[in-house]
Amino acid sequence: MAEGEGWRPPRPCEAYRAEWELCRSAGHFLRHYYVHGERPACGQWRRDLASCREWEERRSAEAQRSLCESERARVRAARKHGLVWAPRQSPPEDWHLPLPEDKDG
Amino acid sequence: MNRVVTHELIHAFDHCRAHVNWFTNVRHLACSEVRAANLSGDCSFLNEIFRLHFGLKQHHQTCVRDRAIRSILAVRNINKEVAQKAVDEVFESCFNDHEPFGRIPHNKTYARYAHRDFQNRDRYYSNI
Repeated sequence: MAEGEGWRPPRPCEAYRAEWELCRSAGHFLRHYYVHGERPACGQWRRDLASCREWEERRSAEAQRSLCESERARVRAARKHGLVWAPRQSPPEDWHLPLPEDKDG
Repeated sequence: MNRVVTHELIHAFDHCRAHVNWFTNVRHLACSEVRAANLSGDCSFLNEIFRLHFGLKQHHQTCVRDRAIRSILAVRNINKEVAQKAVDEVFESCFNDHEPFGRIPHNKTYARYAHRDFQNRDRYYSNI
C-alpha cells in the first residue's frame, strides 16, 4: 500500500519505542561493540518514534513520508549485500532426507 | 544443546530457501557456516570466554570466521588455505544475511523482537 488513504505506520508506535529503548540499553551497546567494533546508532529509532506519534496525533504527511523513507532505507541496507546462492521458489521435496552427494543444489 | 540445534537449523533453513551446492561449491558451504556461527550463539562473548578466547572489539567476527573455517575442514577434505579463502570471499555477504531473524538473536529479547517483526510483516511491507 503506497502512501495515501488507509496508510498506517509500518510498525506500531510501541515497537519503535521498544527498539529505541533496546538500542540505548547498556547490554545492546556492549553486544553491538562486540559484533561491529563501534557504538550503535539509535537516533533513527528516536526520530521514527517521534514521526509515528506525530502521525497518530495529527496525521502529518511529513511524518508519513519520513517513516516510509526510514523503513525503505532499512530494507535497502538489509538487502545491499548480494546473495552467494540462487534463491528457491519452494523447498526441495526431499528436504528432510540425508543429503545425496550425487544430487547437489 | 539449544545452540547446537539452532546451528543445524540454520543449515536446514538455507537448504530449504536456496539452491545450495553443499558438496560441489565450497563457497556455498562457507556461507552457511558463517551464518550458522553468527546467528546460533556459537560466538557469544561467554562461549568465547569458556574457550579461553579473550577479545571484545569486533571479536564476534573473528570467532565467526574461525569457527566457519573449522566447520568446513571438519566435513571437507580440503586444506586450510582453501577454506579460509572461501570464507573471506563470502564473509561480507553472509555475515550480514540475518534471515530468518532480521537481526542477530543474542538472547530471548532479540528473538522475541524478531518474531514480532515476522508477525507484523504483512503490515510492514504494505505500508512502506
